Amino acid sequence: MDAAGVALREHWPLLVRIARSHARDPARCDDLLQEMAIAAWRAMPRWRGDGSLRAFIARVAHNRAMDALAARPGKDVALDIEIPDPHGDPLERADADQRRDRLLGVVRGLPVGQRQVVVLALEDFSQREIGQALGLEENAVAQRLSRARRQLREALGDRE
Amino acid sequence: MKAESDKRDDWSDLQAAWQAQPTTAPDLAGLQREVGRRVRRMRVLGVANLLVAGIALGNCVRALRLHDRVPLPVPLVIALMLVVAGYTGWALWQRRRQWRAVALAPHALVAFEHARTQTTLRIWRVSTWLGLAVWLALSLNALYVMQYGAARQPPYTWAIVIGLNALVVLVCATLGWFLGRRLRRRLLRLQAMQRELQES
Repeated sequence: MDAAGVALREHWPLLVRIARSHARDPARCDDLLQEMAIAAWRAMPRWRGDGSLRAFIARVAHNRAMDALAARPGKDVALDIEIPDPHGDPLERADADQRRDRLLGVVRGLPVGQRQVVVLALEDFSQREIGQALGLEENAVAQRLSRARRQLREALGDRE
Repeated sequence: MKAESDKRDDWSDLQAAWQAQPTTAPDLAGLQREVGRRVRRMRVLGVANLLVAGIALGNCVRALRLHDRVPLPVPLVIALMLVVAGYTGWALWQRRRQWRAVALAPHALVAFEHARTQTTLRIWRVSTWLGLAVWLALSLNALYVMQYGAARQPPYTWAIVIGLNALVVLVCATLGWFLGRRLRRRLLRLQAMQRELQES
């Protein structure tokens, strides 16, 4: 396995979650994930170390998603692949699943520019890394995040 | 007050919910095969492009070596050679540019894709009308030479040539119309995406 393969394995969960934030239908999500992974694999040798590797991978993945959105707008059905955790309390699990699904639904409903910023924030990227990944100034990232966070909290019914 | 502001700025609970999404393991061997397959396909396409250009240029050179028996005016053959070489170079450059665009910033990528789609649309439009114009010129030329008895070929040969070319023009125009519709839809989606990126 070459270095690109190793890096891809490491950042695979990030790619899966980015794909899910753009596609609801499982088949479409799988297709998008494959396209993102291939694009990242092929683009990896061009990463020069300016910025973090995960920011570079996230940029390539988001770009691939935008290309897919431009080719076919999202009108798919909300059917997420469920892989139940065999351990843990079923009630707690159901509650956590519900919250996660609602979060995913709200994220998918955001405008694309805000969605990209939010997904990376949820992936624990710093504002600087988000800026690197999306080619934005840090203050633009902060503004978008602040607006999006309010929307997310409201949509999820959280009290601030 | 501070606690409230901290809560507003705190993403940790959302991050925890987000990152708890179940994920499957990647099929890296399968992905590597697919990457290899696509790289090979790109290479084959590039080689095919060069091969077709080489054949076209070779034919032009062969025609030029016929000296006074050249079926077309020499400047036209030279112009044709320049067009073939220029178009091939441009197509290869475009492919390379598109490949490099994969790591552009999102707004730059959307702008790039918008320009690329517009160029493709323009090429199809110009090619379709140019094809029709050439076919019309060919038909008028055929009518002219037959009317004035200057035709070297019998009328049925002209009819076959005009009929076959009409078919080619018709197929290209239909394909152009179909692709044009798809490209216009893509342009609209890209414009909407540009607006969304600006407004976010």
